[in-house]
Amino acid sequence: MAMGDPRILIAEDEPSSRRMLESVLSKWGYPVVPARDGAEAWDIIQGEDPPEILILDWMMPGKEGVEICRLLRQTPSVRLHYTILLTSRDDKADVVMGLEAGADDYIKKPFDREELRARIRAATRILNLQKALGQRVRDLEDALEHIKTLQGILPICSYCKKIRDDRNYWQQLELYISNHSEAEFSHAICPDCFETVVKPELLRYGVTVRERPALPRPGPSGTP
Amino acid sequence: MDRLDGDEELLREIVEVFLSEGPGRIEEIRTALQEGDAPKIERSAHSMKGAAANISACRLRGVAHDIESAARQGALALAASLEDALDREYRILSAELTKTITACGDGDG
Repeated sequence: MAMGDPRILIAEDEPSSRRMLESVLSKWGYPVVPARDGAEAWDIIQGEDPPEILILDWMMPGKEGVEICRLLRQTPSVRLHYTILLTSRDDKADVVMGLEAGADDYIKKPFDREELRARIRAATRILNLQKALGQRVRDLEDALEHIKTLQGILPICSYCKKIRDDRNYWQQLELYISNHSEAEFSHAICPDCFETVVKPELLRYGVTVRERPALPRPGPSGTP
Repeated sequence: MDRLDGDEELLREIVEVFLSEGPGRIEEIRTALQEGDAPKIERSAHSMKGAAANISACRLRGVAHDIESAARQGALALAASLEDALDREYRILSAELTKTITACGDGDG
């Protein structure tokens, strides 16, 4: 998903307050999804592609904002969301209770424009950060998965050295490795095989083979 | 009303929404008071309080708040005694608001 302005759910049963929030947020360019009560809000949250910022009125019929926060905490979900409780309660204990229930932030009613704007921006920042972090973790998991496939036990044919892959298909060693890693192969002939395979083969066809002094064989006598 | 950022049209709309919802809300509170249903009184008074706060109607908000807290504490007699005050505040406010939006609607000419 693009890291643009997130969509905002406004769950508020009081129509004039809902309309006011809707209008102010749309004016700032945020796509807004209104809900008339807690039950409708919960349906939207559980539906396909729900908004990421959830502004939930504390007290509304159907489901109260705090209850939605609690349910969201209890429901394991890969979806990102940021919950803001809308409260006319100004008791400190209420704010603590709301945050304990799982709300990320709260706004007092009637809302102050600048405060609302700053809090929505903070929410956007955190959501974008979480998204970037999530992507990073997925990339790392992919990389790890890649490494793991090369670390497990590979069935290899004792004779032709083909490797059996996870679909029970015998693959050339180099094909298998290049499919499962970043490595690429450039084909060559090692000095041993040159001596034992290539040279007799060439001799069989009557080709004389010159010695290759430029490529000293490694070994106890080969080092200067 | 600086939350509206000078948006006259929105102000009008918000007030209209408030006025269209108002009588139903007052009725809801009145019924709940008659039934002596504390949770219902609390809920409906809370809604009224929010609606009043939204348009910065401090006095109506205050009465609704008092009814709400009385109901929460189970003081139903106290809540019921505030019914007339609620009614009065709402009537004063709605008359004032109706005048305002009608004046706005007439335009400058």
